[in-house]
Amino acid sequence: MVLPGIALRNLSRQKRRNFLLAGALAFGVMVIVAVNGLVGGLLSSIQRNASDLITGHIFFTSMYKDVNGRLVQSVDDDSRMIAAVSELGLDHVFMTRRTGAGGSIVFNGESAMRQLAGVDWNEESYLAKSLQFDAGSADGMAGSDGIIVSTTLAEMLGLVPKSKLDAVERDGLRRELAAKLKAGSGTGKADRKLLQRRLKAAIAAAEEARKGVRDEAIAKSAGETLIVQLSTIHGQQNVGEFRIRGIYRAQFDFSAYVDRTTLNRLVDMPDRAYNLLGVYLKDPSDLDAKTVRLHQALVKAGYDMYPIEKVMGRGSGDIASELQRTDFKGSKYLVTNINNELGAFIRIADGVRAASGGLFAIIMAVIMVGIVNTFRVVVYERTREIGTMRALGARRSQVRNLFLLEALFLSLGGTLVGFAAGFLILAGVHLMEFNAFTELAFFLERGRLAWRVEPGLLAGSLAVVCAMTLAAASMPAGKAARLRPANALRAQF
Amino acid sequence: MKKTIIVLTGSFILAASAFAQAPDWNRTLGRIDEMGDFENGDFSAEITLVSQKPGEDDTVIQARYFRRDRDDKFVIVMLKPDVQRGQGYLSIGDDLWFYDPESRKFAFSSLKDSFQDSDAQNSDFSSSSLREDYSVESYADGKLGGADIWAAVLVAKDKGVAVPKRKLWIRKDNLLVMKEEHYSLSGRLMRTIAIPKYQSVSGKFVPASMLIVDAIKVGERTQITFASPSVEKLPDSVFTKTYLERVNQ
Repeated sequence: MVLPGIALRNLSRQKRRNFLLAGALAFGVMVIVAVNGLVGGLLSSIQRNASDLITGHIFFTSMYKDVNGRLVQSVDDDSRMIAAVSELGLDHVFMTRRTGAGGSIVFNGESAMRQLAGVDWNEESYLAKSLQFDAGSADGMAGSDGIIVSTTLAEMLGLVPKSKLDAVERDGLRRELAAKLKAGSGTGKADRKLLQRRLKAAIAAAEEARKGVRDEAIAKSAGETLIVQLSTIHGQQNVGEFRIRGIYRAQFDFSAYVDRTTLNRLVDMPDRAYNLLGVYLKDPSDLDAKTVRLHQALVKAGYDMYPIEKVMGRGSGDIASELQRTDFKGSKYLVTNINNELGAFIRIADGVRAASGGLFAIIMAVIMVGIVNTFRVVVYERTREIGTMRALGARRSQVRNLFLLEALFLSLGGTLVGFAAGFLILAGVHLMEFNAFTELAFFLERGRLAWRVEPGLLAGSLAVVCAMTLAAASMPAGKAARLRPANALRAQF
Repeated sequence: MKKTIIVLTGSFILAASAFAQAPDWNRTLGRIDEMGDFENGDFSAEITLVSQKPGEDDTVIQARYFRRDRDDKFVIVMLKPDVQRGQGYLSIGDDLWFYDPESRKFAFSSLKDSFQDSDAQNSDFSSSSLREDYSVESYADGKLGGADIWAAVLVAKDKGVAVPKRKLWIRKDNLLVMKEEHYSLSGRLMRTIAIPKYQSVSGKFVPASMLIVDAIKVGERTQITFASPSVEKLPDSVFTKTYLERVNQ
């Protein structure tokens, strides 16, 4: 119990030197916590948003070739799939059976490409509740020609005025104000700071004035007719009309929702068919392992499955392209998951993590050299003190442990400060709001950058820093332990 | 030249006499395909597209167009505007690749996609296959611009044909298609194509210009003109990805 006290006291004797060493350790730990926390948060947001978007973590579909050799995605037999999910005990919040089709949505000559999600509104009653409607509702969507669009899409189609002024409008306002200020200045020049202030106020006023008109337009747009131009599953061009039943507020915009049977008829699919079954798991951890287990169960159940080793790490679009080029008979079934669909993001995240790990390793290598040198100086400076301790009966192991304890406390202190600094940075980043950028919203959680630090990363960083610091200090500590008491006491420094 | 005119006139008279009364639609559609099909040679031209969209300035695109019908191939290399210069399309059968010289990459595309965000579709530049793809559901006699025509309604023979239903206005005297309407599977008019003038190239007929009017995106229209048509034999290397890459070097 005496040694830790002495070690702490020794550390406090050289505050500046130890502060620098602990600071360097803290910096390394801060980098790894902040970078991994941000990457983990981004991935978690992307995974969550994508899961909400495609409504699922694990997906099941089947593909066959029609008489013209065109690949068609349509599930007509999911009974064994449902049974397998149940048998494997994959707890899920819900399952969705949707038809998806990309198409051009047109209103008064304005058009936008969107994914149409054909929903079984009786089966997906939660969806109607989860959408935040600015106008209308999902009531009566089942079996109807209704369509639910986002406010973003409504803006693009000119159904409602944009909430924010665009660059051209802002520029026009700026020119107008600049001209007024120039005319009134007497010097023929506009005060730049005054112009900025007035411009900010004018933009805010214009956007506020637009709000009332916009709200009115949103309310009126329910009932308007949208034309949808798309291709059938066999590749024929088709056009349908949908009536707006609701406009929902979207953090980011991807799909327009319609009734599945109505969409099926438009894309020439049987009424009860669909092309993607999504399983939204209660616990999406170990997703890849769960996907592989489900694949194996489906093989046993008799489905002609696309090989799982070819699925992992690839998006379903890539797999579909390959199947289009491959000759096969009957239906091919496919189980995949959100990680495979987000393959590019995950690879980028892994790259960033690896880079931060590399940076951490370099920082630690530099710090280890610093610790070795510092402890060698410390041992040199305290040679007589070591001699006194040995003369008073301290054993060699106690001398060595004293230095190792100092190194351990140093690493613990540095790591804990690094954790705190890392968490502070993450909390600071989380405070920033990015609501205005809808393109960025896919990476956000309620308009903010989320962060997620794995406990294993914290434990691992702590263990690595302590182990490396102890390893660096062990050589000078051993040298101190081997000093002869008489020689040490005679030392003149 | 005189000989060509005599041969052409003769073939028109023969065609007219053969088809003027009760048309055999299988033969008629085959003849229409043949008239625009360069099955034994190559075809090239300079094409200009002028696209109009409400509230926007007109967009002018110029490109060089190469076609080899016997292999079902075509290549288009963009010349103007400058920002799109060097972009290219290579179509072989049902496959179509778009080349972007900036990224130096090919992207797989579809014949059904619109050409450079105009009202033309990539498939408008491939050879016609009316006899293979369609059967005539009904027809009526009529007049268009003073000429006697048949207005024939064609329906796709199978679900693989992109345009499920077409209405053609065919001149009785020379079997040239003067106007077309494309309908969706649901029967909605999608676009109208008017071909007021053809040009004869080695006994074949290609539009001198055509006007495409989008019936869904109201107010959008594209005029395409084909200039400097040629049937000179083209090197095989033109119909390759390498050509599109090399043309940018």
